[in-house]
Amino acid sequence: MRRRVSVAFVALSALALCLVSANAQDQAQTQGEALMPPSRLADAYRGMIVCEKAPGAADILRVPLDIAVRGNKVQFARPLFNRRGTWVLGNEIGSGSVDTNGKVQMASTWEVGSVIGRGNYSGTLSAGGGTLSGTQSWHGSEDEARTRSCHIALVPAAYSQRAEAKQ
Amino acid sequence: MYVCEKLPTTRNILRAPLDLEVKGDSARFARPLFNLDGSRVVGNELASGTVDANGRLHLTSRWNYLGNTSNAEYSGTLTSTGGTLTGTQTWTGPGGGEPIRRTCTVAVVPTSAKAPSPSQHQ
Repeated sequence: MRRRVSVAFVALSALALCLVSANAQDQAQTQGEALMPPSRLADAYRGMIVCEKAPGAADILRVPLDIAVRGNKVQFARPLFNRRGTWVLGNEIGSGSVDTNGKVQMASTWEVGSVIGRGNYSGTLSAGGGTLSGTQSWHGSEDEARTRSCHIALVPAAYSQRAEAKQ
Repeated sequence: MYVCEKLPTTRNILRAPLDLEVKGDSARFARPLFNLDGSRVVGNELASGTVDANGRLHLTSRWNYLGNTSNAEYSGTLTSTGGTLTGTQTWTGPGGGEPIRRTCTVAVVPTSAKAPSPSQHQ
């Protein structure tokens, strides 16, 4: 299980960074210097997302989450699991924006089987890291609406660029 | 979860589970301390502090490892659905010198007392 999660996480990270890179290139071609980044932000953050226990799940959710920053655009990714947490079913990949003060807004949509989920998160990033909070909502198998709160803790990725030296 | 920046002496950023307990206007948390390559638990960080009527938290901790002393301070906000904290660890070596600082962030959600051991779901 741990190896499977690790492999999925690495693949997810690479996927997210590739997507952001491609998106940044597209944006650069169309917007030119509009990609000026909020000052002093790292280009990549890593951390964890923690969510309330979902109905039918054995416990709260704690999984790794990556954020890539390209100009004023952000993109994040984290693995999606089955209810028992024994299998990776896919990824939650979302995107959004960050303003010059580090205020972040992100949204996502994912689909697993017949379940369609949505996420909305907001918070603040700085050179040293940041936190975001938000809500996930989805319709369960019996079409009942479900909502839960999630919180995200982040620090700059170990070898990210533009991060201020902290030591 | 507890997430900290990479230190020059560590292999990567730190990600560790953290439990936070609130009783009245007092709050405390605990999380495992690891050796420099993250391969062994060498102790615990125990922080304590206060929470006000608006959910504003302020906690501090102090511990020693390999002759280094860390003082940490955290603040944030807690609601009925969880919350986040941000803080700073300040490391001082046995010989003094310039302290090393790193940012740490925390994300928590409520859990029942009967919850099983930590795991990953959905």
